[in-house]
Amino acid sequence: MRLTVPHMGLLSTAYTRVLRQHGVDMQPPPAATVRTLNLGVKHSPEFACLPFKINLGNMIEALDNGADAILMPGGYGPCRFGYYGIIQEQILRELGYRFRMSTTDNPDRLADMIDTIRDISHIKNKYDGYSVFFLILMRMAALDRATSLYHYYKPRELNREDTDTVLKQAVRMIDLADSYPRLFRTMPEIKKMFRAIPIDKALNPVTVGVLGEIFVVIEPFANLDIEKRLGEMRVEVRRGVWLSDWLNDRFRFRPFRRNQTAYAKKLARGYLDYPAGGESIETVGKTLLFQKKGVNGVLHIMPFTCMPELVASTIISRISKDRDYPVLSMTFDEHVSEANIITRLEAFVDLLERRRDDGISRH
Amino acid sequence: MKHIRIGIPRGLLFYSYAESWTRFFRDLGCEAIHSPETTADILKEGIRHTVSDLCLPVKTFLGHVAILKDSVDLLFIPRHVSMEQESYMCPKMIGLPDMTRACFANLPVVLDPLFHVKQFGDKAIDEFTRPVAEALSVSPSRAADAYRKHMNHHAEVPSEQHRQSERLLAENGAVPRSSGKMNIGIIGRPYLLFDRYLSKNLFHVARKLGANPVSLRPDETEIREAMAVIPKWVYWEMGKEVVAAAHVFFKDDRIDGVINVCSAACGPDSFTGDLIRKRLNRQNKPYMTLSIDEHASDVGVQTRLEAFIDMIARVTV
Repeated sequence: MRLTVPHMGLLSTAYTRVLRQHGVDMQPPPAATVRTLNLGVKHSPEFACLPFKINLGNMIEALDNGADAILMPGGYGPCRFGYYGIIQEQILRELGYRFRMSTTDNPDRLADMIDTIRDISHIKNKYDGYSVFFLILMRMAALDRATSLYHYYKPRELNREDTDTVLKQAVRMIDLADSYPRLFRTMPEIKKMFRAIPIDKALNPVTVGVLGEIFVVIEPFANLDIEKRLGEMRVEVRRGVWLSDWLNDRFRFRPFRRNQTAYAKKLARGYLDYPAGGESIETVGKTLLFQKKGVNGVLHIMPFTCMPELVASTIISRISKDRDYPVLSMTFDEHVSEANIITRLEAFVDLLERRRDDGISRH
Repeated sequence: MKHIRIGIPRGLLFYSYAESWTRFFRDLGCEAIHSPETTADILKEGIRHTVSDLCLPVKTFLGHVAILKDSVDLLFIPRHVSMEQESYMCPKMIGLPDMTRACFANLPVVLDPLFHVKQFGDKAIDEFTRPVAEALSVSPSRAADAYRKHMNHHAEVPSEQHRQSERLLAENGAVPRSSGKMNIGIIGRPYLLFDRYLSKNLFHVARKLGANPVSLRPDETEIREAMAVIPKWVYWEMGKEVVAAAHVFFKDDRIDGVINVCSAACGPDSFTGDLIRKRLNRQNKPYMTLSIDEHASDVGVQTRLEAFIDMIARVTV
């Protein structure tokens, strides 16, 4: 059985090596390209959301490369994600592919995750299952930590692409850190590497909070590498959604990091009183948080037709009016063009810089 | 004593529960005010106040809020999260009260009780009616009792939609083949089908073209049967009903063709549409998706309907 799991940001880096060592024949899909997207779009329902289409493209390419089993997380709404696997399986079977499909319908439950791991690997002992699962979670947290360092150093770098090279190296090092001790030894090294990048210490970059639907936020292919582009415009990104936070809210592997969903729920009160699925509550709560903290503006990104984020987008445009706070919502789908995104980003960043320099912002 | 005037916008769940809500509020001594039927101007109001990507029914709903808000004391916009253990409403329904508040600067008080069977189980109705009772200063038990009386879950709701469907079935369900008229099953969300402006008066147009349009609100058995045919329980309340209605129509020999009316860019319908087409239409019955957005026109709908009816006529001859 050659198992494939569709990509989501750097997640596959967190689990592939570890699971392989425990006897899972992993076949990660090739990194998404325009071909992946075109394949996905061609076979998806017209109004399915972008993550669905990219995932489907991932599956097709992985099956073409010899995978014969797909693991797709499921769940029960209200967002469409919980139903992805069913529709994707139906489409793939119609295309004539033969494979085993498993969907974990309770991806929020630790016991179910451990069972899934024991199911697909050589691990039979429950405690080994926990140990492996938590190692994967810690690796994911390390990857996110490296990415947040990237956000800090990227706008300040003196030599173009320095930071990107370091991030690539850091990801590689975390990938190789296949045990707890190795992982703990790796993190200080990564920090040292980032600190060694020559930077413009006098630069005081504009800050932009990046929020929205989690897949589009963490997957550079889906958002046309928006964080890198912002960095190149000398903007410091403050990302409000992290995969490791999402995992931590459910599996509590970082006991000192507060539950971000609960926190956002508290912050959003008065604007969104009940989570409307997906990342809607995070988007609303953290827009308010970023405003309070003096982040210069919020960039809200989501897939076209994303239901929860449309709720959030309606509400944060009110917050923007109420508090005179710059918010830009952008939707992404297969028709999005680079020129469009760059133009809008540049205009937004210009606006933020001018506001800051004129002291219009209240902070 | 002056009655409290409670505004119920004519949109979304109005088409499923309006009558029960109205009776419920009347029972509590209030006056329930409905906005008039949708018009082009109402929709225009809605579009003016919303972000562009929102779906047509939500825009329409907000248009109704716009014309209702200044003439009522309270706006009733309940937050329906789940109607039963296995299902959710669409995220936009869950966030509806908050979205409404975000879209308008000067609103009357919005009464937004939470209906959440998944969380509260049997206590859902008590949880739902408590804030209503508070706002109207009646006792919580009285409100809960009134609600139970008028809202025997959805099985017996004498709502406008339900009544209309029943009537349609009575009129058309028994039509014998020999009458020469074809029966067309029409599926879709009540707030789209039964809003005459949004659906471009589909039922009427079909009848004028010599067909019998039939709609159906599936009962629990029909829903269970349909869910057994597909690989996973459809967890959207309304999506599930659309799928079940499709299942009934595809099985029924008296139905010659099925039209799925959905709003463009509807999240759940983008998936259930795929399920219906690929999983349920085993006999390969004539099937058409009619997707409606703010640019849809009477003529466009009529043309597609004519073509569909012509096609069925040619197939069945």
